[in-house]
This record gives sequence, structure tokens and C-alpha cells, in this order.
Amino acid sequence: MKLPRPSDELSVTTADKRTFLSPISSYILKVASRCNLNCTYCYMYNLGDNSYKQQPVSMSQDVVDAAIAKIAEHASLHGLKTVVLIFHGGEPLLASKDFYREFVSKAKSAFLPNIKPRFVMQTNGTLLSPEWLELFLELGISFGISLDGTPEAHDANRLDHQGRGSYKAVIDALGLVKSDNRYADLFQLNLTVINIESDPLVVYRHLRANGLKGVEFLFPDGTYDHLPPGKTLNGEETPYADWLIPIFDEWFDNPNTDYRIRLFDNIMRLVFGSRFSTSDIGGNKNGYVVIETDGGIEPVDSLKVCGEGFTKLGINVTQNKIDDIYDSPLAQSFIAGADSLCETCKRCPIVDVCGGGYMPHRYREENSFDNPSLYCKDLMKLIAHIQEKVLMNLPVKLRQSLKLATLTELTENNSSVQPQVTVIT
Amino acid sequence: MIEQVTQNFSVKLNEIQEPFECAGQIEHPLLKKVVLNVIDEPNQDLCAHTQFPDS
Repeated sequence: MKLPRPSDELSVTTADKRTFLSPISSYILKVASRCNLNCTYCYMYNLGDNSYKQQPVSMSQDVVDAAIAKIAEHASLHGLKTVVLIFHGGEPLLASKDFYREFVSKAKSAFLPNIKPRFVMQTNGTLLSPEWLELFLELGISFGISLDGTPEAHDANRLDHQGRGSYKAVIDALGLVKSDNRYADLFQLNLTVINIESDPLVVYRHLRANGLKGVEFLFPDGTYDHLPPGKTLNGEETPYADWLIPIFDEWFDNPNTDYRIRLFDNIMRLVFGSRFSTSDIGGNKNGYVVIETDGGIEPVDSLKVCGEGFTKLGINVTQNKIDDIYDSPLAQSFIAGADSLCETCKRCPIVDVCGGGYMPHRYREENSFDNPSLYCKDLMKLIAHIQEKVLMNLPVKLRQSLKLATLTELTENNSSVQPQVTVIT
Repeated sequence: MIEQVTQNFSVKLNEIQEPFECAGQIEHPLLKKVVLNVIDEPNQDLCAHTQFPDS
């Protein structure tokens, strides 16, 4: 499958636009290729791709200059008004403060006034200090911190290279953030990888007590060849839905809350036809790429779980344009979102909400991405639960006028509508 | 009685008439907020965001 570039869109009708790839508006910048932690589930280091060992430890100024120039060129070519630059790693706080001062200064010079750059960082939090927070204020960098919940849930996986847990350092960092409203305003969400061995409600209440604005729950990365905890090739079990549903119920049943759970928020929005989501749900086109420390342009980094060097496309900001990523079938599939799903997913009644889940989770060496997500049953159970709860809280007349039905009603009343999962044995 | 064919699992709020009237009928605060946010979305295709907190 070769999809056209976004610039080709100019020559086609509006009705055909869905088949076109998106411009790239967000960039995950690998400013450091190493990390001071060694989390067991990390797709960068511990799930079968060791290509990080060939990467420069940090991003050079030559790569920074080339990346900024190519991003600005791409944004201008496609008429983008905003670009999001996400500092990531490895651990981005392993780069120096001067690196960020220089990066932000160069980016503003290259982008403004026509293109507004937004700067974001995802950090493990363990190296955060008042000096770093002051720098974030100075440069306008908003940020998120990874926290897996209670000390037990967090330290089960988020370890340093000596095998020691990182919970205390992260809680101390969150304390620093909470100590000053200016810092707290820059903070966005905690990222929490689900640990199904933990008690979901204990984790949720702990996050609420110790976190800030909200949380994004992530499914552990894996493929059909390297299954995450609790999953089998049979695929019928739903430990992740069973873990998330009690949290949803407690959150939804206490509706006067400002605490955001992005996964639940996204699912509810998608039930109402939102075109806004994250890349793990909803099936929107994906407008972001990764730029590695050596300048390599790559599709989403969690595709590293698919195998050694899987994300390497042989293109680099020092030699190529960002547009050149559209020539890669792998990148095309990722950017195309739900347009690249398997036939089983396309026939499923909830595909507009789940979007087939996260692309790496559909991979199997034998048939590539031609599978439903390994989390299909979890997604179906969770989404059906949330949708039903949403429907039960709509006035009856409104529900009828919107012509919404639960998954059970749809399948009972229309034999052509069947939720399907390909069981791979 | 459930109508077949015309019923769906999800609905495109931006394609219905009087969406704000719909939102006004919802009592659950969190749900009302979600619906209002969807109605308020820019009328254009949006790209999916990364899993990182960039939105």
C-alpha cells in the first residue's frame, strides 16, 4: 500500500481527504538515548531492540540545527500554525540545561512568528530539581512525570540500574512541583503503566492523592510474539479491562472532579464522535514522528517492540526532508491510523471508538500488523462498559434521538453486527 | 424496541441538529462537560496526539 503525500491533497475532492496522510505536527525528540532508570517494561531498552547502543548518547547541535530547519520547512510547506516539540529519551533531564536554552532559542528564531512552537517534556522525574523547574518556567516547557501508583506498583518495574526502586525520588519530584503554583501550572499528567498485579482502586486513590491534574493509563507494550503480563495468544482474557473498570466507575460516579483520566475522557468523547484522541485509541491519523539522537527520522518509538532495528528507516534530518517519511510503508501505516486496520477490525461495531488500539500491539511476526490488537477483548469490554454507563446517564429521549445502542443491543438485534476477534493459536 | 440498522455504537455530535440542546438535557456534570467539549471541537480533521502529555 502506498499512500499519497499530504501535498497531493490539493488536487482531490474533500470526500477523498480521509485517504491522505497527515502533515507532521508533533515531534518526539530523543535528546538523550540513555536513561538513569532501567524499567522492566521499557520499549527502548528491554523489549528486544538494542539499536539504542548504536545511537549517540545525546543529540548534537548539528542534529538540533538540522532538525529545527527541517521541521520549519515541513510546517511551512503544509501550512501548519503550531508544532509540538516533545523532549524525550531515554531520560531528557540527562541533557544539560544549556542544551534546552539553546534549543528553544533556535526553535523560536526559526518558527516565529508564523509557526508557534510548543515545548513539552516527558521525564521519569528522578532528576528534577528546583533549578530545572525554574528553567521550564523560563523556557515555557510543560511536562509530565511517570508514576505507576503505590510504592509497590511503581517499584515493581521502575528500577534503576542497580535494581533499586525510583518511587521515593518521583514522589519528592511531585512534591517540588506542587510546592509552587507556577510549576504546577506547567505540569500536565502523570503517565502510569498499568500493573495488573496491583489493586486498581488503591493505585487510583494514591495517584489522586499524590499526583496533580490527572493521569494517562498506558497498556504495557508488547506484541503477539512478546506478550505483556496477563495476556495469552488465546486473547479471551481481559485483565486490563477488569483493572480499569473499577477505576472508571469510581471516577465517573464522583462527577464533580477536576481530575482528568485521559483514557476515559477520550473514550467518552469518541462515543460522541470526537475527532480528538491519542494514538492508542480512536484511529485518528497520527501526525507525529520521532527524531533520534543521531538525527534519524522514525515512526513511533514503541514500534521497537516489534524487533531489532524495526523503526530504522534510513532517513535523517541531516540529509532528508521530513516528507521523506511518507515513502516508508511502515510510517504510512502508522500515520494512516484506522485506515490501515485489518478487515476484522473494520467490520467491528466499536471500531470508531477503539480505532484498533495502538499499532505496535497489533504486530505479529508471521503476518505483520494484519491483526486486531492483542488487547482487543480488553478494549471491547472497557469501551462497552463506558459506553453503556454513558447511555444510562443520558435522558431516555435524548438517547433515542441520538440512535445510540449498547453493544449488547446491537449484537442481539442485528446478526450482521458481531464483535469479532481473530483468535490466534 | 431497538431499531435495527439505524442504531449505532457511537454518534457524530457535530453532524446532528441542535447539539447544545442535547448537552443541556444532560445532568451528569462530567458527561455534560465531555459532550460540550466535543461540540466545541474545531471543525476540521485532527491528528491523534502522542501518548505523552502534549495536549
